[in-house]
Amino acid sequence: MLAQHTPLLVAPTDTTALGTAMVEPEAVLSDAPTYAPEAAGFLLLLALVSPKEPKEPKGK
Amino acid sequence: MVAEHVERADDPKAALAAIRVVGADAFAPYLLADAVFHPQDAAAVTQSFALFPPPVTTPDPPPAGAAEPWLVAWRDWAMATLLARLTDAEPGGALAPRPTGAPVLTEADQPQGGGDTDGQDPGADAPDDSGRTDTDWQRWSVRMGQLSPLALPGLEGPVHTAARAAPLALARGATRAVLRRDFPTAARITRWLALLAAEGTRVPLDPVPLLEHLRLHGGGPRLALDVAIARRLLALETA
Repeated sequence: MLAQHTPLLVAPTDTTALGTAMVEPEAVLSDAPTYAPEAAGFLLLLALVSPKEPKEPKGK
Repeated sequence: MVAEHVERADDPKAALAAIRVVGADAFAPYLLADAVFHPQDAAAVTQSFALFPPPVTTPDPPPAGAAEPWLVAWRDWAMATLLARLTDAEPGGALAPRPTGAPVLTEADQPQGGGDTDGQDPGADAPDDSGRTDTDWQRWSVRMGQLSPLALPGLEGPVHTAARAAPLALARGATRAVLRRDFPTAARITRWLALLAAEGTRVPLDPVPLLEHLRLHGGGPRLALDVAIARRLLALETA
């Protein structure tokens, strides 16, 4: 095995980094959607001004 | 499989460290599928323990001791125990000692203020070691998720007893993680739900559609591994 024939030196920072990687904490920030009632009017406006669905061209 | 990973790596030290990060889950193909465990795989794991030796004495469980080294000690124990089992090592010959204690949960059936509130930084509620009690279901479930590599067949201990005693807290924790869109944490906690369901315990949240939701969302290789193991536990994948 390659690793058995390669001198490997471990620094204290390596051990610290390994310990940190093994702990796997939860995400610090939540990405949960928040309730935003003021967005309702904006969404309605977008729905009204959005272009119509394209129609299938006839005669083909 | 494990030895091949080390052999092909450009940085053997990082490869050996990665084995420890994956932990007992590195043995999942041998426990849950038909992969053949070779002596070279055992040698790679043993070398990982030699290069990054676990502490000789086990750290005190929180709140008496810090949480992080205690979590690492449990994960090391899980890996060492499964290695000893797969290699038919003598009892007591594991490479890491068994820690004591399990995540402590209080008021398991009492919702506490509805959990996180919108707009607040949940990191402020993260488990810490400042002496603050962290035994509510939110922090407890996160800690159980951090111990998810123990949610494998062939392992038994106080952590498993704690999981069996509180399926509702696990279900709440998994739901909370999904709502936070912290899908890796959700997958880790769901593994415990899958293990309990596989054991025949009634769980208040069906892990099957939850796993499908997490699988479709994705979130990196670690989440994919957790979901794959949970699906294997539930016999959703057999090929």
